[in-house]
Amino acid sequence: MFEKVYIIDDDEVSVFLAQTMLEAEGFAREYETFQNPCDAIHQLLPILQQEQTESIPNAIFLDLNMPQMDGWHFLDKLSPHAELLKQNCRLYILTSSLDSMDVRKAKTYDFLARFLQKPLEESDIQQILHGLNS
Amino acid sequence: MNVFYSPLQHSAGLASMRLEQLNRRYFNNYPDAIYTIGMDNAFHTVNNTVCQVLQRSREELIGQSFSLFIHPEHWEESVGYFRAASQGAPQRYQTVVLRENGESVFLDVTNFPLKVDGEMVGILGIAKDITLQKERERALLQTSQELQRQNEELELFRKIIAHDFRSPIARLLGLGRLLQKDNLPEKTKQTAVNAILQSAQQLDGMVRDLNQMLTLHHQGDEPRELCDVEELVQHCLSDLQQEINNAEATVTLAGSESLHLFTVKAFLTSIIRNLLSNAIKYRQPGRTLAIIVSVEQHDNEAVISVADNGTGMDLEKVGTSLFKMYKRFHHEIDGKGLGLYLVKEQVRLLGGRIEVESTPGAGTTFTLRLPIL
Repeated sequence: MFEKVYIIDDDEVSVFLAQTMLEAEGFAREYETFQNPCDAIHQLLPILQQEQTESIPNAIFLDLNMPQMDGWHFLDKLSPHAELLKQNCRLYILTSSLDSMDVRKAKTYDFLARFLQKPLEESDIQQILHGLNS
Repeated sequence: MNVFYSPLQHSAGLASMRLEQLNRRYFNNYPDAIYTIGMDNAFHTVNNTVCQVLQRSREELIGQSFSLFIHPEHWEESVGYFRAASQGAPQRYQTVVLRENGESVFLDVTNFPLKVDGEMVGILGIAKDITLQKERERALLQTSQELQRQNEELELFRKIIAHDFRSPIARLLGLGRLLQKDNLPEKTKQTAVNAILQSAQQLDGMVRDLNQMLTLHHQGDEPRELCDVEELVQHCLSDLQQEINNAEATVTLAGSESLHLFTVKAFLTSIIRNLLSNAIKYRQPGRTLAIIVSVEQHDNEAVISVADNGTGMDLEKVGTSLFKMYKRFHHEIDGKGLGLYLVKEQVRLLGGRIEVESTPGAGTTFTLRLPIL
Protein backbone atom coordinates (compact mmCIF):
# COMPACT_ATOMS: atom_id res chain seq x y z
CA MET A 1 0.00 0.00 0.00
CA PHE A 2 1.16 3.50 -0.83
CA GLU A 3 1.21 6.24 1.74
CA LYS A 4 0.03 9.26 -0.23
CA VAL A 5 -1.33 9.62 -3.79
CA TYR A 6 -2.15 12.66 -5.93
CA ILE A 7 -4.88 12.49 -8.58
CA ILE A 8 -4.65 15.41 -11.00
CA ASP A 9 -7.52 15.71 -13.47
CA ASP A 10 -9.77 18.63 -14.40
CA ASP A 11 -12.73 16.32 -14.84
CA GLU A 12 -14.68 15.70 -11.66
CA VAL A 13 -16.06 12.34 -12.76
CA SER A 14 -12.60 11.09 -13.71
CA VAL A 15 -11.25 12.05 -10.29
CA PHE A 16 -14.16 10.30 -8.59
CA LEU A 17 -13.63 7.19 -10.73
CA ALA A 18 -9.90 6.95 -10.20
CA GLN A 19 -10.17 7.51 -6.48
CA THR A 20 -13.03 5.05 -6.00
CA MET A 21 -11.22 2.35 -7.99
CA LEU A 22 -7.97 2.92 -6.08
CA GLU A 23 -9.77 2.87 -2.76
CA ALA A 24 -11.53 -0.38 -3.68
CA GLU A 25 -8.13 -2.00 -4.22
CA GLY A 26 -6.69 -0.53 -1.05
CA PHE A 27 -4.10 1.42 -3.02
CA ALA A 28 -3.13 4.17 -0.57
CA ARG A 29 -3.75 5.57 2.86
CA GLU A 30 -4.27 9.14 1.71
CA TYR A 31 -5.67 10.59 -1.52
CA GLU A 32 -5.24 14.18 -2.54
CA THR A 33 -7.12 15.31 -5.64
CA PHE A 34 -6.56 18.39 -7.81
CA GLN A 35 -8.97 19.57 -10.47
CA ASN A 36 -6.59 22.38 -11.31
CA PRO A 37 -3.01 21.22 -12.02
CA CYS A 38 -1.68 24.66 -11.07
CA ASP A 39 -2.73 23.98 -7.47
CA ALA A 40 -0.79 20.72 -7.50
CA ILE A 41 2.29 22.46 -8.87
CA HIS A 42 2.11 25.16 -6.19
CA GLN A 43 2.02 22.51 -3.53
CA LEU A 44 4.57 20.14 -5.01
CA LEU A 45 7.33 22.42 -6.28
CA PRO A 46 8.36 23.82 -2.85
CA ILE A 47 8.44 20.28 -1.46
CA LEU A 48 10.77 19.20 -4.25
CA GLN A 49 12.92 22.32 -4.04
CA GLN A 50 13.40 21.83 -0.32
CA GLU A 51 13.80 18.08 -0.77
CA GLN A 52 11.22 17.28 1.90
CA THR A 53 11.21 13.65 0.83
CA GLU A 54 8.67 12.60 3.47
CA SER A 55 6.09 15.03 1.95
CA ILE A 56 6.53 13.87 -1.64
CA PRO A 57 3.51 11.79 -2.75
CA ASN A 58 4.41 8.15 -3.45
CA ALA A 59 2.36 8.13 -6.62
CA ILE A 60 0.79 10.67 -8.98
CA PHE A 61 -1.92 10.02 -11.56
CA LEU A 62 -1.78 12.81 -14.10
CA ASP A 63 -4.31 13.62 -16.84
CA LEU A 64 -3.03 15.16 -20.09
CA ASN A 65 -5.86 17.26 -21.49
CA MET A 66 -6.51 20.01 -19.01
CA PRO A 67 -7.43 23.57 -19.95
CA GLN A 68 -5.47 25.41 -17.25
CA MET A 69 -2.17 23.61 -17.78
CA ASP A 70 -1.81 20.43 -19.78
CA GLY A 71 -0.04 17.36 -18.45
CA TRP A 72 3.08 17.98 -20.55
CA HIS A 73 3.49 21.45 -19.18
CA PHE A 74 3.09 19.96 -15.70
CA LEU A 75 5.84 17.42 -16.37
CA ASP A 76 8.12 20.12 -17.76
CA LYS A 77 7.77 22.02 -14.50
CA LEU A 78 8.79 18.88 -12.58
CA SER A 79 11.65 17.82 -14.82
CA PRO A 80 14.39 19.76 -12.95
CA HIS A 81 13.64 17.40 -10.06
CA ALA A 82 13.65 14.22 -12.14
CA GLU A 83 16.18 12.41 -9.94
CA LEU A 84 14.36 13.15 -6.71
CA LEU A 85 11.08 12.04 -8.27
CA LYS A 86 12.54 8.80 -9.61
CA GLN A 87 13.58 7.81 -6.11
CA ASN A 88 10.43 8.88 -4.27
CA CYS A 89 7.42 9.04 -6.56
CA ARG A 90 5.82 6.89 -9.22
CA LEU A 91 4.38 9.16 -11.87
CA TYR A 92 1.60 7.75 -14.05
CA ILE A 93 -0.07 9.43 -16.98
CA LEU A 94 -3.75 8.55 -16.88
CA THR A 95 -5.49 9.78 -20.00
CA SER A 96 -8.46 8.97 -22.21
CA SER A 97 -6.43 9.94 -25.28
CA LEU A 98 -5.93 7.35 -28.03
CA ASP A 99 -3.33 9.50 -29.71
CA SER A 100 -0.17 7.50 -30.36
CA MET A 101 1.76 10.76 -30.45
CA ASP A 102 1.04 11.10 -26.73
CA VAL A 103 2.51 7.65 -25.99
CA ARG A 104 5.61 8.55 -27.98
CA LYS A 105 5.97 11.88 -26.25
CA ALA A 106 5.62 10.24 -22.83
CA LYS A 107 8.72 8.15 -23.57
CA THR A 108 10.81 11.32 -23.59
CA TYR A 109 10.21 11.80 -19.86
CA ASP A 110 12.44 9.31 -18.07
CA PHE A 111 10.89 9.95 -14.66
CA LEU A 112 7.51 8.63 -15.83
CA ALA A 113 6.61 5.18 -14.51
CA ARG A 114 3.91 4.27 -17.03
CA PHE A 115 1.39 5.51 -19.54
CA LEU A 116 -2.09 4.36 -18.51
CA GLN A 117 -5.26 4.62 -20.51
CA LYS A 118 -8.57 5.46 -18.92
CA PRO A 119 -10.51 3.85 -17.43
CA LEU A 120 -8.17 2.70 -14.71
CA GLU A 121 -8.67 -1.07 -14.44
CA GLU A 122 -8.36 -3.31 -11.41
CA SER A 123 -5.61 -5.22 -13.20
CA ASP A 124 -3.57 -2.02 -13.70
CA ILE A 125 -3.87 -1.19 -10.03
CA GLN A 126 -2.92 -4.72 -8.95
CA GLN A 127 0.11 -4.67 -11.26
CA ILE A 128 1.30 -1.42 -9.73
CA LEU A 129 0.81 -2.77 -6.22
CA HIS A 130 2.68 -5.99 -7.06
CA GLY A 131 5.50 -3.91 -8.48
CA LEU A 132 5.63 -2.08 -5.17
CA ASN A 133 5.92 -5.29 -3.17
CA SER A 134 8.46 -7.04 -5.38
CA MET B 1 25.98 12.09 -112.68
CA ASN B 2 23.63 13.02 -109.92
CA VAL B 3 22.01 16.37 -110.08
CA PHE B 4 21.15 18.16 -106.89
CA TYR B 5 18.53 20.83 -106.99
CA SER B 6 18.65 23.51 -104.46
CA PRO B 7 15.21 24.43 -102.99
CA LEU B 8 15.56 27.91 -104.34
CA GLN B 9 15.79 26.67 -107.88
CA HIS B 10 12.72 24.56 -107.27
CA SER B 11 10.38 27.29 -106.07
CA ALA B 12 11.03 30.27 -108.16
CA GLY B 13 7.89 31.96 -106.72
CA LEU B 14 9.32 32.10 -103.24
CA ALA B 15 12.59 33.44 -104.47
CA SER B 16 10.84 36.29 -106.09
CA MET B 17 9.29 37.36 -102.83
CA ARG B 18 11.09 40.31 -101.33
CA LEU B 19 12.35 39.98 -97.82
CA GLU B 20 10.33 42.95 -96.71
CA GLN B 21 7.14 41.38 -98.00
CA LEU B 22 7.96 38.16 -96.16
CA ASN B 23 8.59 40.06 -92.98
CA ARG B 24 5.29 41.87 -93.29
CA ARG B 25 3.35 38.66 -93.81
CA TYR B 26 5.16 37.03 -90.94
CA PHE B 27 4.50 40.05 -88.75
CA ASN B 28 0.80 40.21 -89.54
CA ASN B 29 0.02 36.53 -89.16
CA TYR B 30 2.22 35.63 -86.24
CA PRO B 31 0.04 33.92 -83.56
CA ASP B 32 1.26 36.27 -80.80
CA ALA B 33 0.46 39.96 -80.69
CA ILE B 34 3.32 42.05 -82.14
CA TYR B 35 3.36 45.82 -82.15
CA THR B 36 5.56 48.88 -82.10
CA ILE B 37 4.94 51.85 -79.88
CA GLY B 38 6.50 55.25 -80.41
CA MET B 39 8.10 57.46 -77.78
CA ASP B 40 4.70 59.25 -77.54
CA ASN B 41 3.15 56.01 -76.11
CA ALA B 42 1.02 55.60 -79.25
CA PHE B 43 0.72 52.40 -81.27
CA HIS B 44 2.69 52.73 -84.48
CA THR B 45 2.13 49.30 -86.01
CA VAL B 46 0.03 46.36 -84.80
CA ASN B 47 -0.36 42.88 -86.25
CA ASN B 48 -3.66 41.01 -86.70
CA THR B 49 -3.32 39.29 -83.34
CA VAL B 50 -3.22 42.63 -81.50
CA CYS B 51 -6.56 43.46 -83.15
CA GLN B 52 -7.97 40.05 -82.17
CA VAL B 53 -6.78 40.28 -78.59
CA LEU B 54 -8.15 43.79 -78.04
CA GLN B 55 -11.11 43.19 -80.39
CA ARG B 56 -10.55 46.45 -82.17
CA SER B 57 -9.70 47.37 -85.74
CA ARG B 58 -6.26 48.58 -86.76
CA GLU B 59 -7.69 52.08 -87.32
CA GLU B 60 -8.97 52.19 -83.75
CA LEU B 61 -5.51 51.36 -82.41
CA ILE B 62 -2.91 53.16 -84.50
CA GLY B 63 -2.07 56.52 -83.02
CA GLN B 64 -3.79 55.71 -79.70
CA SER B 65 -1.90 55.49 -76.43
CA PHE B 66 -1.35 51.85 -75.42
CA SER B 67 -2.27 52.68 -71.82
CA LEU B 68 -5.91 53.21 -72.86
CA PHE B 69 -6.22 49.45 -73.19
CA ILE B 70 -4.48 48.43 -69.99
CA HIS B 71 -6.62 47.32 -67.05
CA PRO B 72 -6.63 50.27 -64.58
CA GLU B 73 -5.19 48.09 -61.81
CA HIS B 74 -2.12 47.39 -63.96
CA TRP B 75 -1.82 50.82 -65.47
CA GLU B 76 0.93 52.15 -63.23
CA GLU B 77 3.25 49.14 -63.46
CA SER B 78 2.73 48.81 -67.22
CA VAL B 79 3.65 52.43 -67.78
CA GLY B 80 6.72 51.85 -65.60
CA TYR B 81 7.79 48.84 -67.64
CA PHE B 82 7.21 50.76 -70.86
CA ARG B 83 9.34 53.64 -69.64
CA ALA B 84 12.14 51.25 -68.71
CA ALA B 85 12.03 49.61 -72.17
CA SER B 86 11.99 52.95 -73.93
CA GLN B 87 15.11 53.89 -71.98
CA GLY B 88 16.96 50.98 -73.56
CA ALA B 89 16.41 47.99 -71.25
CA PRO B 90 14.31 45.07 -72.61
CA GLN B 91 11.44 44.16 -70.26
CA ARG B 92 9.38 41.04 -69.71
CA TYR B 93 6.28 41.15 -67.53
CA GLN B 94 2.67 40.09 -67.18
CA THR B 95 -0.24 42.44 -67.43
CA VAL B 96 -3.97 42.60 -68.08
CA VAL B 97 -5.69 44.43 -70.93
CA LEU B 98 -9.35 45.27 -71.30
CA ARG B 99 -11.51 44.57 -74.32
CA GLU B 100 -14.23 46.99 -75.34
CA ASN B 101 -16.83 44.66 -73.77
CA GLY B 102 -14.99 44.78 -70.43
CA GLU B 103 -13.43 41.31 -70.72
CA SER B 104 -9.95 40.96 -69.23
CA VAL B 105 -7.12 39.32 -71.15
CA PHE B 106 -3.93 38.25 -69.37
CA LEU B 107 -0.77 38.88 -71.40
CA ASP B 108 2.84 37.83 -71.11
CA VAL B 109 4.67 40.81 -72.60
CA THR B 110 8.21 41.28 -73.88
CA ASN B 111 9.22 44.78 -74.95
CA PHE B 112 12.49 45.55 -76.75
CA PRO B 113 13.87 49.03 -77.19
CA LEU B 114 13.92 50.20 -80.83
CA LYS B 115 16.82 52.40 -81.94
CA VAL B 116 17.49 54.12 -85.24
CA ASP B 117 21.01 55.42 -85.71
CA GLY B 118 21.65 55.01 -82.00
CA GLU B 119 18.62 57.05 -81.03
CA MET B 120 15.59 55.58 -79.18
CA VAL B 121 12.49 55.74 -81.35
CA GLY B 122 10.15 53.45 -79.41
CA ILE B 123 9.69 49.80 -78.53
CA LEU B 124 8.92 46.56 -80.33
CA GLY B 125 6.70 44.29 -78.27
CA ILE B 126 5.44 40.73 -78.36
CA ALA B 127 2.51 39.70 -76.17
CA LYS B 128 1.23 36.20 -75.62
CA ASP B 129 -2.36 35.61 -74.48
CA ILE B 130 -2.05 33.61 -71.24
CA THR B 131 -5.64 34.02 -70.05
CA LEU B 132 -6.45 30.31 -70.24
CA GLN B 133 -3.26 29.45 -68.40
CA LYS B 134 -4.04 32.04 -65.72
CA GLU B 135 -7.55 30.71 -65.28
CA ARG B 136 -6.23 27.18 -64.92
CA GLU B 137 -3.67 28.39 -62.43
CA ARG B 138 -6.35 30.10 -60.41
CA ALA B 139 -8.61 27.03 -60.47
CA LEU B 140 -5.69 24.85 -59.44
CA LEU B 141 -4.80 27.18 -56.59
CA GLN B 142 -8.40 27.20 -55.43
CA THR B 143 -8.54 23.41 -55.54
CA SER B 144 -5.30 23.03 -53.65
CA GLN B 145 -6.41 25.53 -51.01
CA GLU B 146 -9.68 23.69 -50.58
CA LEU B 147 -7.80 20.39 -50.33
CA GLN B 148 -5.46 21.82 -47.76
CA ARG B 149 -8.37 23.10 -45.73
CA GLN B 150 -10.04 19.70 -45.90
CA ASN B 151 -6.85 17.96 -44.85
CA GLU B 152 -6.48 20.23 -41.86
CA GLU B 153 -10.05 19.46 -40.97
CA LEU B 154 -9.44 15.74 -41.28
CA GLU B 155 -6.52 16.06 -38.88
CA LEU B 156 -8.81 17.97 -36.55
CA PHE B 157 -11.44 15.23 -36.72
CA ARG B 158 -8.78 12.67 -35.92
CA LYS B 159 -7.83 14.67 -32.84
CA ILE B 160 -11.45 15.07 -31.83
CA ILE B 161 -11.95 11.33 -32.01
CA ALA B 162 -8.69 10.48 -30.26
CA HIS B 163 -9.17 12.99 -27.45
CA ASP B 164 -12.63 14.42 -27.11
CA PHE B 165 -14.81 11.47 -28.05
CA ARG B 166 -12.66 9.04 -26.18
CA SER B 167 -13.04 11.01 -22.95
CA PRO B 168 -16.76 10.38 -22.18
CA ILE B 169 -16.42 6.84 -23.52
CA ALA B 170 -13.59 6.09 -21.07
CA ARG B 171 -15.75 7.51 -18.29
CA LEU B 172 -18.72 5.35 -19.28
CA LEU B 173 -16.51 2.27 -19.33
CA GLY B 174 -15.01 3.09 -15.95
CA LEU B 175 -18.38 3.86 -14.37
CA GLY B 176 -19.85 0.63 -15.71
CA ARG B 177 -16.92 -1.32 -14.36
CA LEU B 178 -17.34 0.41 -11.01
CA LEU B 179 -21.04 -0.41 -10.80
CA GLN B 180 -20.24 -4.09 -11.34
CA LYS B 181 -18.44 -4.14 -8.00
CA ASP B 182 -20.21 -5.63 -4.99
CA ASN B 183 -20.76 -3.81 -1.72
CA LEU B 184 -20.61 -0.30 -3.17
CA PRO B 185 -21.92 2.33 -0.76
CA GLU B 186 -25.32 3.63 -1.87
CA LYS B 187 -23.92 7.15 -2.23
CA THR B 188 -21.12 6.02 -4.55
CA LYS B 189 -23.63 4.07 -6.64
CA GLN B 190 -25.84 7.13 -6.98
CA THR B 191 -22.90 9.33 -7.99
CA ALA B 192 -21.86 6.78 -10.60
CA VAL B 193 -25.34 6.51 -12.10
CA ASN B 194 -25.63 10.29 -12.35
CA ALA B 195 -22.19 10.49 -13.92
CA ILE B 196 -23.15 7.84 -16.49
CA LEU B 197 -26.12 9.91 -17.54
CA GLN B 198 -24.04 13.07 -17.70
CA SER B 199 -21.31 11.40 -19.78
CA ALA B 200 -23.85 9.93 -22.15
CA GLN B 201 -25.43 13.37 -22.57
CA GLN B 202 -22.05 14.90 -23.29
CA LEU B 203 -21.29 12.24 -25.87
CA ASP B 204 -24.69 12.82 -27.44
CA GLY B 205 -24.04 16.55 -27.60
CA MET B 206 -20.70 15.98 -29.30
CA VAL B 207 -22.19 13.62 -31.86
CA ARG B 208 -24.88 16.19 -32.62
CA ASP B 209 -22.31 19.00 -32.97
CA LEU B 210 -20.12 16.92 -35.22
CA ASN B 211 -23.10 15.96 -37.32
CA GLN B 212 -24.08 19.61 -37.66
CA MET B 213 -20.58 20.48 -38.67
CA LEU B 214 -20.29 17.75 -41.27
CA THR B 215 -23.69 18.71 -42.67
CA LEU B 216 -22.45 22.28 -42.92
CA HIS B 217 -19.81 21.28 -45.41
CA HIS B 218 -22.36 19.86 -47.78
CA GLN B 219 -24.28 23.10 -47.75
CA GLY B 220 -21.99 25.34 -49.76
CA ASP B 221 -24.80 26.28 -52.14
CA GLU B 222 -27.56 26.68 -49.62
CA PRO B 223 -30.46 28.67 -51.09
CA ARG B 224 -30.57 32.28 -49.94
CA GLU B 225 -33.69 34.19 -49.08
CA LEU B 226 -34.56 37.71 -48.03
CA CYS B 227 -34.41 37.97 -44.21
CA ASP B 228 -35.39 40.79 -41.91
CA VAL B 229 -32.36 40.87 -39.60
CA GLU B 230 -34.18 42.40 -36.65
CA GLU B 231 -36.93 39.82 -36.88
CA LEU B 232 -34.31 37.11 -36.97
CA VAL B 233 -32.59 38.47 -33.85
CA GLN B 234 -35.96 38.59 -32.07
CA HIS B 235 -36.54 35.01 -33.08
CA CYS B 236 -33.18 33.95 -31.57
CA LEU B 237 -33.96 35.87 -28.40
CA SER B 238 -37.29 34.13 -27.93
CA ASP B 239 -35.55 30.78 -28.47
CA LEU B 240 -33.11 31.63 -25.69
CA GLN B 241 -35.74 33.24 -23.42
CA GLN B 242 -35.42 30.53 -20.78
CA GLU B 243 -31.63 30.96 -20.48
CA ILE B 244 -31.93 34.77 -20.54
CA ASN B 245 -34.46 34.59 -17.69
CA ASN B 246 -32.32 32.17 -15.69
CA ALA B 247 -29.33 34.50 -16.02
CA GLU B 248 -31.54 37.50 -15.21
CA ALA B 249 -29.97 39.25 -18.17
CA THR B 250 -31.18 42.33 -20.00
CA VAL B 251 -30.98 42.36 -23.78
CA THR B 252 -31.19 45.61 -25.74
CA LEU B 253 -31.69 45.74 -29.46
CA ALA B 254 -29.99 48.89 -30.77
CA GLY B 255 -29.97 50.34 -34.26
CA SER B 256 -33.43 51.17 -35.53
CA GLU B 257 -32.67 50.70 -39.19
CA SER B 258 -34.72 48.01 -40.78
CA LEU B 259 -32.22 45.83 -42.57
CA HIS B 260 -33.00 43.14 -45.09
CA LEU B 261 -30.37 40.65 -46.13
CA PHE B 262 -30.41 38.14 -48.92
CA THR B 263 -28.77 35.32 -47.04
CA VAL B 264 -28.93 31.75 -45.76
CA LYS B 265 -31.42 32.11 -42.94
CA ALA B 266 -30.37 28.96 -41.06
CA PHE B 267 -26.71 30.08 -40.96
CA LEU B 268 -27.42 33.60 -39.81
CA THR B 269 -29.79 32.30 -37.13
CA SER B 270 -27.19 29.82 -35.92
CA ILE B 271 -24.47 32.52 -35.84
CA ILE B 272 -26.54 34.98 -33.82
CA ARG B 273 -27.84 32.28 -31.48
CA ASN B 274 -24.30 31.05 -30.82
CA LEU B 275 -23.03 34.56 -30.07
CA LEU B 276 -25.96 35.24 -27.73
CA SER B 277 -25.61 31.94 -25.95
CA ASN B 278 -21.85 32.57 -25.48
CA ALA B 279 -22.63 35.94 -23.93
CA ILE B 280 -24.97 34.22 -21.48
CA LYS B 281 -22.53 31.40 -20.75
CA TYR B 282 -19.56 33.65 -20.01
CA ARG B 283 -21.29 36.21 -17.82
CA GLN B 284 -19.45 37.77 -14.91
CA PRO B 285 -20.66 36.36 -11.61
CA GLY B 286 -22.07 39.07 -9.36
CA ARG B 287 -22.84 41.48 -12.19
CA THR B 288 -26.15 41.76 -14.01
CA LEU B 289 -25.55 40.62 -17.55
CA ALA B 290 -26.37 43.26 -20.16
CA ILE B 291 -26.26 42.29 -23.80
CA ILE B 292 -26.53 44.86 -26.57
CA VAL B 293 -27.30 43.64 -30.06
CA SER B 294 -26.97 46.23 -32.77
CA VAL B 295 -27.86 46.02 -36.43
CA GLU B 296 -26.58 48.64 -38.86
CA GLN B 297 -25.76 49.14 -42.48
CA HIS B 298 -22.32 50.49 -43.42
CA ASP B 299 -21.90 51.01 -47.15
CA ASN B 300 -22.45 47.61 -48.69
CA GLU B 301 -22.21 45.69 -45.46
CA ALA B 302 -24.63 44.61 -42.79
CA VAL B 303 -22.91 45.08 -39.43
CA ILE B 304 -24.37 43.00 -36.61
CA SER B 305 -22.69 43.17 -33.23
CA VAL B 306 -23.30 41.37 -29.97
CA ALA B 307 -21.71 43.11 -26.97
CA ASP B 308 -21.74 41.85 -23.40
CA ASN B 309 -20.34 42.89 -20.01
CA GLY B 310 -19.25 39.35 -19.17
CA THR B 311 -15.94 37.83 -18.07
CA GLY B 312 -14.11 38.86 -21.25
CA MET B 313 -10.84 37.25 -22.24
CA ASP B 314 -7.23 38.11 -22.90
CA LEU B 315 -7.14 38.01 -26.68
CA GLU B 316 -3.36 38.04 -26.76
CA LYS B 317 -3.35 34.82 -24.82
CA VAL B 318 -6.22 33.25 -26.70
CA GLY B 319 -4.76 34.29 -30.06
CA THR B 320 -5.97 32.48 -33.13
CA SER B 321 -7.33 29.52 -31.18
CA LEU B 322 -10.55 31.33 -30.39
CA PHE B 323 -12.43 30.05 -33.41
CA LYS B 324 -10.91 26.58 -33.41
CA MET B 325 -12.67 23.38 -32.53
CA TYR B 326 -12.62 22.09 -28.99
CA LYS B 327 -10.56 24.79 -27.40
CA ARG B 328 -11.70 25.76 -23.96
CA PHE B 329 -10.67 28.96 -22.25
CA HIS B 330 -13.03 29.07 -19.33
CA HIS B 331 -12.43 26.04 -17.24
CA GLU B 332 -15.28 26.80 -14.83
CA ILE B 333 -17.82 26.51 -17.58
CA ASP B 334 -18.62 23.41 -19.52
CA GLY B 335 -18.04 24.38 -23.10
CA LYS B 336 -17.20 22.18 -25.99
CA GLY B 337 -15.70 25.01 -27.97
CA LEU B 338 -17.54 24.05 -31.11
CA GLY B 339 -19.86 27.04 -31.15
CA LEU B 340 -17.35 29.62 -32.36
CA TYR B 341 -15.89 27.20 -34.88
CA LEU B 342 -19.36 26.79 -36.37
CA VAL B 343 -19.83 30.55 -36.33
CA LYS B 344 -16.58 31.10 -38.20
CA GLU B 345 -17.40 28.46 -40.82
CA GLN B 346 -20.89 29.81 -41.38
CA VAL B 347 -19.60 33.37 -41.68
CA ARG B 348 -17.06 32.14 -44.21
CA LEU B 349 -19.74 30.37 -46.25
CA LEU B 350 -21.80 33.57 -46.26
CA GLY B 351 -18.81 35.53 -47.57
CA GLY B 352 -18.55 37.72 -44.47
CA ARG B 353 -16.10 38.35 -41.65
CA ILE B 354 -16.23 38.29 -37.89
CA GLU B 355 -14.13 40.31 -35.46
CA VAL B 356 -13.81 40.17 -31.72
CA GLU B 357 -12.84 42.73 -29.12
CA SER B 358 -12.52 41.80 -25.47
CA THR B 359 -11.20 43.04 -22.17
CA PRO B 360 -10.74 40.61 -19.28
CA GLY B 361 -13.28 41.41 -16.60
CA ALA B 362 -15.10 43.97 -18.73
CA GLY B 363 -16.76 42.16 -21.59
CA THR B 364 -16.64 40.97 -25.16
CA THR B 365 -17.99 42.30 -28.45
CA PHE B 366 -18.35 40.17 -31.54
CA THR B 367 -18.89 42.11 -34.76
CA LEU B 368 -20.22 40.33 -37.79
CA ARG B 369 -19.98 41.91 -41.25
CA LEU B 370 -21.93 40.43 -44.12
CA PRO B 371 -22.03 41.70 -47.69
CA ILE B 372 -25.37 43.06 -48.84
CA LEU B 373 -25.87 41.55 -52.26
